[in-house]
Amino acid sequence: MKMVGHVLRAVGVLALLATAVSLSPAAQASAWEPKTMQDYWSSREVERPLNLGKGWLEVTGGVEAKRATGYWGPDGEALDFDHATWLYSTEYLAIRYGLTRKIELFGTLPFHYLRLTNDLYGTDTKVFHLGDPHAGLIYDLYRARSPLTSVVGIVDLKLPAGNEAVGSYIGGPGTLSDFVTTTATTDLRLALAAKTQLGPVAVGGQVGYIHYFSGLAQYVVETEELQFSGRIKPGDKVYVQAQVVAQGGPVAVIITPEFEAHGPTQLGTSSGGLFPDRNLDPVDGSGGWSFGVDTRLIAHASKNADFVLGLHVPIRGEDLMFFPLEDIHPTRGLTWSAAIKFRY
Amino acid sequence: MKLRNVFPVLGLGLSILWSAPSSAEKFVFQSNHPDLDWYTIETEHFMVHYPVSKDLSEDNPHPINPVWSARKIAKISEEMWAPMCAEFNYYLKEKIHVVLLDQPDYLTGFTIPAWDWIEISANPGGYFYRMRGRMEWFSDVMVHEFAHVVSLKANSPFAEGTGGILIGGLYTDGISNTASGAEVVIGDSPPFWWTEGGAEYWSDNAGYNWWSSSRDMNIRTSVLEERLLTYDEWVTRIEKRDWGDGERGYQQGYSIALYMRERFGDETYAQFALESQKGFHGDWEKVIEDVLGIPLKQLYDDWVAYLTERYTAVYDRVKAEGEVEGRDLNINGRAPWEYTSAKGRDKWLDNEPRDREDKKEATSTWNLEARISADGRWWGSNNRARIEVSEIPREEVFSAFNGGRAWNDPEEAIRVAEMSHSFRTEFMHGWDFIPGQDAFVHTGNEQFYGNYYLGKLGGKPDLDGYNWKQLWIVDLAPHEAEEHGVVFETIKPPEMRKIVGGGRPILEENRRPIPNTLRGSDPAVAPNGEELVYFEYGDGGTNLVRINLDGTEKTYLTDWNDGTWLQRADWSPDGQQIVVAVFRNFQQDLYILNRDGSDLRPITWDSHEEQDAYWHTDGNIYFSADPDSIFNIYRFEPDTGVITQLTNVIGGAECPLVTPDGNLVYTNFTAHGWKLYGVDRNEFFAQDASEDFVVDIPEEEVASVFAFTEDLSMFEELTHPYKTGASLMPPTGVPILRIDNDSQTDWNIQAGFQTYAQDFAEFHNVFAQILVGQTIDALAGWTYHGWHPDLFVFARRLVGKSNFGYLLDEDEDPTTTDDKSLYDFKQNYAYTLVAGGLSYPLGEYITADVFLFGMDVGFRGLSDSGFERYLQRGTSSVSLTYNKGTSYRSRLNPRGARVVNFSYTRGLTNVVYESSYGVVVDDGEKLSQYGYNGFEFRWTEHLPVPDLLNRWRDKTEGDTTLQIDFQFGFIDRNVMGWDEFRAGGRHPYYWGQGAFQPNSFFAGYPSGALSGETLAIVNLAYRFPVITKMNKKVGPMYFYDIYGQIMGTAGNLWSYRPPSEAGSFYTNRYDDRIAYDPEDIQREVPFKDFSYKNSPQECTTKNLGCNYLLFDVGAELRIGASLFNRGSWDSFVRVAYGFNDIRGSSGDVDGDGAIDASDSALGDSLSNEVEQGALRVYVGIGTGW
Repeated sequence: MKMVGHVLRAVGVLALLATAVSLSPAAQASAWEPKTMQDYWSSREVERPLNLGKGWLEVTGGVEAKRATGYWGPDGEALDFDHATWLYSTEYLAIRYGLTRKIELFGTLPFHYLRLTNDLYGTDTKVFHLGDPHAGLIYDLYRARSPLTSVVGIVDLKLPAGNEAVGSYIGGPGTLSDFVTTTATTDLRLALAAKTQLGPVAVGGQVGYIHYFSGLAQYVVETEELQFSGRIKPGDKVYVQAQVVAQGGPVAVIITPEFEAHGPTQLGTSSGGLFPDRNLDPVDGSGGWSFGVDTRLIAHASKNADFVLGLHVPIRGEDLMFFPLEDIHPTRGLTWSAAIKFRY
Repeated sequence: MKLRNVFPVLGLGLSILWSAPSSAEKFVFQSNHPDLDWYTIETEHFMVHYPVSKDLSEDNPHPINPVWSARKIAKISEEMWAPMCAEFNYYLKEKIHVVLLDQPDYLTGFTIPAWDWIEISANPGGYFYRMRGRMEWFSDVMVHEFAHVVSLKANSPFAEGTGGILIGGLYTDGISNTASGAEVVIGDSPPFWWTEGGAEYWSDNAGYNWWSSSRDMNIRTSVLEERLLTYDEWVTRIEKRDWGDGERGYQQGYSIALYMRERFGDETYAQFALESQKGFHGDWEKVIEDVLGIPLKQLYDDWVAYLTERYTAVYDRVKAEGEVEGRDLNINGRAPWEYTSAKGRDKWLDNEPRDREDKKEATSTWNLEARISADGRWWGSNNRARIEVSEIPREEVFSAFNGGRAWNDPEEAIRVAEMSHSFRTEFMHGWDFIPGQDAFVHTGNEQFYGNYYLGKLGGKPDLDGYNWKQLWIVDLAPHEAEEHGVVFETIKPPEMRKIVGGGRPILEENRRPIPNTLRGSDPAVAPNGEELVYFEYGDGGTNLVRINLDGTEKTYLTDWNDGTWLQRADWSPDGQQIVVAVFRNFQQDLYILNRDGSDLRPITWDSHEEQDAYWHTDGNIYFSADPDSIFNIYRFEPDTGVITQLTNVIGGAECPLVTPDGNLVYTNFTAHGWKLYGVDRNEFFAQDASEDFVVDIPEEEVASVFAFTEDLSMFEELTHPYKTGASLMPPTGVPILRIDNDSQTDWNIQAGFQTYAQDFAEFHNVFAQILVGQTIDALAGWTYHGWHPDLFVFARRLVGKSNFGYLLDEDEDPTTTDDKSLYDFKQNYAYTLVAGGLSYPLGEYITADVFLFGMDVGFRGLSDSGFERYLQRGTSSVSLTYNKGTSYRSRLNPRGARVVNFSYTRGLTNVVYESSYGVVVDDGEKLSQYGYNGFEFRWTEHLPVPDLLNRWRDKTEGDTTLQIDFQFGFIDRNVMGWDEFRAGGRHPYYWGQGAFQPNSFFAGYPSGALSGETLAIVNLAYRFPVITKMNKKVGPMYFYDIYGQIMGTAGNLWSYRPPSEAGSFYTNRYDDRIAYDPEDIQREVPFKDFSYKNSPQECTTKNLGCNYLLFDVGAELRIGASLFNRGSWDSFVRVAYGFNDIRGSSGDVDGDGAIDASDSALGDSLSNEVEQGALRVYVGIGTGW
């Protein structure tokens, strides 16, 4: 219930902000008037293309929360924590902007509230940090309006802005006073996505590849002097998603099963120059695959506002114990989410 | 093995040097006006904002109340909205905000379509008609700007919230000593010709514009003199420096639109916008081919051929009638292009085309409004905002009146040279000699003349933000002077002889303003020499005013308040009547009225443009008109009504004047400028042209026109006070992707955006930028323009992660190197700064600033739970800046520019870092809390110098400049490195703080490597043209100039030295020497002492390796270009060699990405690293320099 409370609190704050903005004089001023340049944008999810139309700005405030009570074993089996409870939440602000008819720019700025309680040790560690922001573009490869068919290419950069200092490790890794909210690496995602409308239903999917560049990471500690940092390169990842959208009046449901697999992580020291990962060695068993299903419920207030509730159900995961980073090796638990989207 | 103190080391590496952010400037007319209230007329599609003085009483010398202008704009705007939107089938949802300015007396009109913003001045300045052939300013310019709004909105494939995407990066390699940067804004901008020509054309299509004789004159001469902008030239508006190129671009675009209308239909021009909107075109010209199916180049060639045929036929007609043009009014005989032999032709054609153009333009370009004094002694004209007066002994000295011969009387020439002078005046305005005096009256402004020396430094103080036009009297004051024992008469003021480079001073006793003539212009003095008439501007129009020369008995002779404009008035020979050209209701005729204002009546009443009335002593009125679409000079005989044509030119004849001998002087429009021409009295065209004019005035029609008053009262109820919140422009931003290297191993990629917003009347400007990546950088600022000084505040928060190598010495012996190990190190740092201040323009060039700044810096180590505060800094400063010139970044060759700055800073620094017990050691002193005073003086001069190379090659002289830059600084005590002065080369694309200008300053040394409490540097640079006026389009790029520069720097920064005598110091855990008594640290004396910080490690006492002065030399190429038809996209290559080895402050001095943390053999706090004298290379693509 703590997790639900967290989501509800966040949704409440977002709703208050939205109300304040919509009632403020500035919101009615000339600056926010609709503009002639804007592309057509449907008020129904099923009819919306995968890229935002020219001239539209979409701002999303959202929250995701997972209360993990377990992890994944070496063979992907579900295992329970003995004494720990792990709340991993993401509060984010996302922006999409229709730069041209064919190009959408997007960015996400996430923050993470993390809490780890351990009955055995009596610890209750809470931190709040910036996460790794994303920035990228979506390119419209093909679009037909009625019925909708949309095919896009996606380029997405993830940038290592989050916290990578683990705090004092006196007493060993088990007593860390802080949590990492970044991979400390720059990642590049390339993907293709498609969607086509079949009356009140749309089907689609996405395939993608994520390349992790190596990065010097504070959480990778050099073991000789214990004063310095090491270099890491998480294994590259591929993923496949399928998607079904069902629209009924102003409400849409989106179901997205997802499969992903990634290669082994590499660790070492910098080799200098523009190719600094020549000294890295792969870690055995650090690759793997996972499978989960994402479900979202979208209510359209108008074409200018949506309310979204979501649930992600992990079905098969990977070995958490090697690398406790939620971005790469998530813990096991349901992830609830809520978001409010505004467009103008 | 000991770790050296990491945090100060890294801190210095951050190079926290703060250069004050300037307040955000307004777009036009920088002065603020808290004396004004603002109002808004809100119509269905527009918001028209206009200012009104809070005090409209007679006590206010600058009352403004442009209600008529605002209502007229509102009416025109609504009328044109539908037809203009229909041009593109693009009907706007958003309201357009029009800001009317009436504070200045100068022309402006621009739009930023994406911001839904048009700004225009109510006062176009009075000479708009010369280029456009009309004075209906509001209907012309408002429709033009609105055409931009609709066409550019319809055209742009990009959303209006952004102008494109900025992608840039900088790679700095301290090992190979290179810094390479690049920046490109991927955006879309249609070409100059389509944008401006289109706005003219769509105004025409919508029924508000027409192809006037003035426009035809421009293009006709351009075609016949082979002066059209080339296919490459007309794509971009930048670097249209040659005479008339800007206006030529407008009219070429208009002309080709008319051509396309005839060939393809009237919707063709608009279709380009609709095609462009479909997607990004790196090269917009492809749009033409997509729409028409033929390449633009072919279309251009077809159009030129069409024009050539058309205008050749016109010229053939003129020649068949008998061309009467006279010749250039000069004393040099035939110009080189007036060759009369094959040899002369060959010699002329040996010049490059651009050199031929330059030579033709060199004889004058804006030479109008010729006048001769009543006694015939003085001749003069307004030549490009200078009244050039000469005593002319006889008319035969002019080639125009002696059959084309050169003047070869040396004695006469010497006298004329002494009896000639050039006086500053307002551009293109009329003026007049005062009969009976050696004096004239002209149009100046309130700030026109100050003390000569103060004037050189920025003119009179201008604290109220107004600088209206005003009439001035100038005495020529002939006097005797003596040089080399020779006594001679001259009108050159004595100061002129004392000052190298001339200037044009006028003794204070020889000039005086005429009281009560604010907003006055174009005086005409009565034959009695005691009174004059002039035009007084008010609320979108002018009226005729008579006043005595001493400013008394001011009488308004007309009382129009309906946008009527007047042009050149002149007195009848008996002084009882006045003739004047009146622009009223789209009609332009000559009128006569009595000296008391009575009996105003037209003497012509037709659709032609009659102007430049000159009432000669022979009783006839000479004027310029265009009955056959070419301006020629005509003579009107009031007694008979007979009109005679005196010239028959192919260009355009305007501003007539008849000399005492009966010859004609006029201004001839050519493709190379407005030039004074003379026609011998025996060569007049002398054709009766009475039939071409309507001189039988339809009195009923005239009375009806005069009685008509346009009803604009409906806008009164639509008017309300200006509301800032309801007048915010749509925020606009630029997405940014920026890539830097971090320690030469990792790429630091940042993504983010800049955004900017303001209200339309520009009371408030806000901007913000956020970049996220490994380093997060957020900054925001706000400027308030509601007071006389700008008030600005600024804040920045930066949280960064820094990668570097760390070199440890196992045995702590710096002489052994085989036991050193290199480790990866990564550290978090953060700072917050806030700044604010006031910026007050004291004059045209002088600005006073008060600046407050505070900064908080912290670090976070690997095992720290959060950031630990390292230090707090605060400064307050005052500065005075003289800036006459332009920015370094935006121009290849600032010339004649001068920047002088003096600042005083009071600083407070508090080191609070607990890990070092709240102290740092700098130069042998423990510093914790201290205050200091800093003084800095900077003088940069860009001196024009002769271009001897091109002169020798007989090429047109280029713009060659000697840049001299002095910088001196003094801090009155030992301070830590963060507060010291710094120097060293830096790439212009460095986005951090403390960018040095010019960047050539000590470019031979690493960025920020040099430091000290005393600074004395001089830099010399010589800039010269390599290739100019390339005007070459290559795909989406357009190249125009390449300049070269060679430069060198000498100077140093001196600091304090730790004590060296045993017993006077102790050493801390980092082996730093610390004085027991801070008085024992020694301040280095500039030029007497070497600089220990900026000398190599071996320099422990005076020896050859010690650096008393540092030197560097360098060379640079600057390449001027634009990209995607946008603004400047300039690039450079710079190489610089620093002659001296330096040690520098702590940190990565040698730039190899690794900090040598082994102990210093010298026992000081400086780095062990040495940067040897080396060649450094800087490259910037699109970054400026």
